[in-house]
Amino acid sequence: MKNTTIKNLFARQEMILLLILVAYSVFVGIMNPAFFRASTIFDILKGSAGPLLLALGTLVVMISGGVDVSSTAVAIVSGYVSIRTMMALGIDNVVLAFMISILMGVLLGAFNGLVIHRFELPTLIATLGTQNIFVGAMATFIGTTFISSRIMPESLVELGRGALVRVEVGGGEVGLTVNIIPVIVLVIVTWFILNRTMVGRSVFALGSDKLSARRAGLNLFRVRMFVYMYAGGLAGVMGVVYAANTRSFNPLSLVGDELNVIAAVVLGGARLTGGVGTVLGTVLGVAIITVLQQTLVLIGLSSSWNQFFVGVIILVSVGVTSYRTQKANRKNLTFITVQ
Amino acid sequence: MQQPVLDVRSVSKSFTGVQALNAVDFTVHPGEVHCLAGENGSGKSTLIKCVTGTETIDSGSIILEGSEYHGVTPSIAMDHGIQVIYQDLALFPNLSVAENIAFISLLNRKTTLVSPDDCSDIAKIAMERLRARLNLDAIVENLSMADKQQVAICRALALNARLIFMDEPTTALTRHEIDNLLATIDDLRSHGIAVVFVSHKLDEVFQIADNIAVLRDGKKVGDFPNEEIDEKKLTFYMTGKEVASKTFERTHVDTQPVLQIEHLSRTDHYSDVSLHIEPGEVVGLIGPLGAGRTELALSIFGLNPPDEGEIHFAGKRVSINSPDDAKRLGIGLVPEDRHGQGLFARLPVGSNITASIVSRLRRGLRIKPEDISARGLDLMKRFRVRENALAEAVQNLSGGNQQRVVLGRWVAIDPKLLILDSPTVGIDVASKSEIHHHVQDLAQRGIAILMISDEVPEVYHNCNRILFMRDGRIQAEIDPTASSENELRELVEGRTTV
Amino acid sequence: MNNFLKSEEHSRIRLLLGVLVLTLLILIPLLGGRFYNTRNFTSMGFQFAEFGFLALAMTLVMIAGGIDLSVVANMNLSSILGAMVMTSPAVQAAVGPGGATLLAIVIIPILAMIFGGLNAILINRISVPPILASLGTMIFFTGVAMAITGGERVGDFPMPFQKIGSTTAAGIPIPTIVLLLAFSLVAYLLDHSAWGRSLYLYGENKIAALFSAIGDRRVVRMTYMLSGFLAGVAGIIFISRINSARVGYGGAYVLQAILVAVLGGTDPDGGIGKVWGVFLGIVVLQVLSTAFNLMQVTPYVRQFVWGSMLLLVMALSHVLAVRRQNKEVLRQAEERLKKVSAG
Repeated sequence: MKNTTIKNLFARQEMILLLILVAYSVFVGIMNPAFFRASTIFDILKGSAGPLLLALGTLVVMISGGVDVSSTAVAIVSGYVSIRTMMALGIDNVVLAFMISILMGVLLGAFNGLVIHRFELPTLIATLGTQNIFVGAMATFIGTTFISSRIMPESLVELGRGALVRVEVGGGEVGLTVNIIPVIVLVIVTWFILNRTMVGRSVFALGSDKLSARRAGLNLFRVRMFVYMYAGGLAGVMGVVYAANTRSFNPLSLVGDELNVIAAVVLGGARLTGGVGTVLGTVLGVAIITVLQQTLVLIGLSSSWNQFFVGVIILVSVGVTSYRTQKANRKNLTFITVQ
Repeated sequence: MQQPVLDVRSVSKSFTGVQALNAVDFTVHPGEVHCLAGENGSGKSTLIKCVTGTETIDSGSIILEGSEYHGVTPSIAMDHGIQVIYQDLALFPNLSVAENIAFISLLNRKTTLVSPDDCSDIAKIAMERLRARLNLDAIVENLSMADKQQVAICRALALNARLIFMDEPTTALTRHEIDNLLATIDDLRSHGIAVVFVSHKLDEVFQIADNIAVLRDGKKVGDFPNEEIDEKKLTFYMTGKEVASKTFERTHVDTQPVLQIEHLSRTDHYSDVSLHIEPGEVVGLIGPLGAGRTELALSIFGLNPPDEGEIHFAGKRVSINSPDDAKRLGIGLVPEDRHGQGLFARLPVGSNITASIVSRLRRGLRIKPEDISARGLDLMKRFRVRENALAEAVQNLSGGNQQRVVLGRWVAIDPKLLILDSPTVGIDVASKSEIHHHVQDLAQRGIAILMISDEVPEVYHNCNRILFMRDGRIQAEIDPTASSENELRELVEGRTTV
Repeated sequence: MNNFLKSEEHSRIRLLLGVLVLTLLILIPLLGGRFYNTRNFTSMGFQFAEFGFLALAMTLVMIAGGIDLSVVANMNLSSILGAMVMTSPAVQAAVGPGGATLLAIVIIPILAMIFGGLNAILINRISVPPILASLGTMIFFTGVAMAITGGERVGDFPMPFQKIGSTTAAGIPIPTIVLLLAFSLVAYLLDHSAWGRSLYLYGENKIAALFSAIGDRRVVRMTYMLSGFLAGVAGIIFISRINSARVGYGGAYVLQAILVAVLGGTDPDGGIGKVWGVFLGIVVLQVLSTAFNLMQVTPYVRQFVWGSMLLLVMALSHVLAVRRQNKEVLRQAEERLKKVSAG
């Protein structure tokens, strides 16, 4: 029956991703057992924390039918505002850091949502605009001063150093960053919202067919505002995590990486046209890309090759998905305009 | 007699000078199947919009289950069990059957949390009332049109519908599926649920309706019990005139076929199709949807390459793999979906009508815009498209004008074969007959025409030969001079067999 | 009679022209001689040439209804490859600096054209949505460039090549002249060639384009290849000006290209756009940019302004489109009324 095949298809996409991940890990592990060292695994987990947070927000936006290129901008601005505020007020508290950053992220996200809804703007272009507005405003009104680890708020440095689990290695210790906790929590929360709440299901409905959503009585404004504010909040969290992980803060960094985030979400099976996407797929997509970026060195390829392999994987994944869709459309004689 | 579930009393509605509804009365009782018949622009959709609260009324009142209103809102309508199933169904293609059925109910309950069980519970209850057999987990975009419709009806039931409006529900259904739908409507009737359906397919109307109301130019011109009206009378009330159609008589005779198809097959679409068309013929291709007609047409046009069989064009064996191939051979297609497949909405009429001959208008290496305008104007004149519309966006034209633009576009290439897929759907009667006139004229000039249509009268009066297709096969060939229109209709509806 | 929006688009061009004139007038008291001198104009001319080619490339793709996220990455990759060939000792020995320069000038646009064609292959053969296709190729091109260069710059070009980015003819930078020629040629082709006219049809409704047998695949192919070619030309000017080729240059240009395209009246949905409008947009942006520089405004203010302008223009577009639609509905209703009362 058609339906089971499609269900299989989606299960298959995540299955395929998992298999690729496993196959790659085994392959690299065999070539270089250093892959299985605690330090490698911990690095991978630490390196995927930030991107995954952004990817979750990007996923929610994509399910609603939009593309958000401002996620990194929101993250960096929120993080910076939070740190500078703490420094100015002289209060050094991790909770406060998160609160300010999240609030800032939600506000910036709200701006996105308002502008996109009110003027029915194409989301890629709109968020391209807001990305530049956010960074430009931050740089102009707050500044671009680099925050070195010396002047970084102690609580964030502590956060960066904090470890859930410590493992003895060689002459020292490696720790699994404590930042993984907010990430795991937010993965679960995002899954829950998308699958077990009406708000989440409304996001799917909106992305699936905007007109039907309106006819069904959905308040499009509310759904869109939720989507962008949620994505903004997640980016806010990421800003602090980013600061903690790098133990310094360059407000001119990070922006530019958003396209890799989008690529990871697309790799995970989300459709650009909306209505389709899973948290598991996004996690796997981010995992694959992060693992690639961090471990190619283990098989002797310098880090300059990272982007190349990511590019290949994206092209292949996009190509395969589109090809499958094309075949199905040809069979059903469906002619749709895909934006 | 129970109180009516819907009682429209003397409702009028106008839009900036156009009287869309003029003192219309309309009553529907529980368990009644009432048909709303009328041409495009007669006021049917406006009436539905007023009853469901999408539009306000100027005067009169709408009584829902005994409560009188002068202004209905969507939530009031929903509270009184008024539901609409639009032609496009308004479902969520990426969500499951269960979720589609349950979504609006859950939305209305204002719940925050929801589980798949909530959805399937609601869906199961609705489906039970309908004896529907759907897979709750199936993703809606993969379902057939008929199944999608069932989902839409279940959704209405889940919202405790007491009156369901159905807008042209049978347009995309096969004969078998239509029977199922009519049986479904019967079921609804037995549950005390009223159905108002809008349709121009008169045979179905007569099959299922208890009463038939006719709107024309915003006024209700008649409301009859089924037994008291027949098709001729209904057409008369709908159009206000006796529709005189000139029957096609082939004058251009040439026995060398332009198109010859032998044993053409495409898995799941059609099989073992053989036919030929000569210049000057208008060959009709009629049959229930799902018969494979459009699929066949697309194969001839290069958008659906066949798996087996041969196509011969102008005497030579050809392989048509794209519309560009088809155009090169001299084949044109006026597609089924005028808006999505036939028009460049925001571009001017001139660009639209010359779309297929752009490269032919080259003079040396370049094209002169004046040439395009001139040619465009020529074609517009010939097909009687409003001349001052040359620079106007084609989306602003009436359906009839738009269709003539598409027709003109293909005539411009000097085609040998023209395929028309449902050429007069959604077009008012006057424009319909004008298009028929053009088609007949083109045939008399030697063009071979394949006309795909759902409308028996259209095919009967405009073709010199009719092919009946069903389940992917050509099952009969009918000579309109040898059979009556009624006989053809009975064949198409499956009341007689080949 | 190219487009019913003729009056609408011309009004857009008139608007831009007005903004430009106004800005230039305001700058007289504000900056006076610092702005209005030959050296400034010349340097502006060089800068906007390279960007102009990119903007033209982006505009063509937008008229086709897509967005090319990969133009800049394409520009970088082809420039890097061309530069590598040009600076290789073997080549320099074989054909000398002049020959190497010529080789680069030929190779870079051709490579870029081929890379642009990759987008077309994805869109035509596999039905990949243009945004996704260009996202993929962008990452891929960047990846290839990164792998080849390891992030290092390729530099020190032969003198003849370096001159490209700094030679003037009668005071006008050569690249600017070439840009003007390119714009003129493209504008002409859009109105007077089968490709151009079919491009608008395709951009407006891809499906109808398919059903009208306008040769949609060819349109896509030629558009993306031409766009690639233009990106390559931009690359030549760019790397000549700064005498090095490297991954990651020009990142901000994607936003700017979309901005000027939209400013100039191009509709991101496709089917509508005029290159002279885009040209005006480029001029306006360049004037503003230089003025900002002279006033020693930080690049971030500029970033903020560009982003705001993009949103403002699109929001305005929307509002005006809604108003136009409402007017059209009213007009049709009035026509019907006239018909009814007449007949």
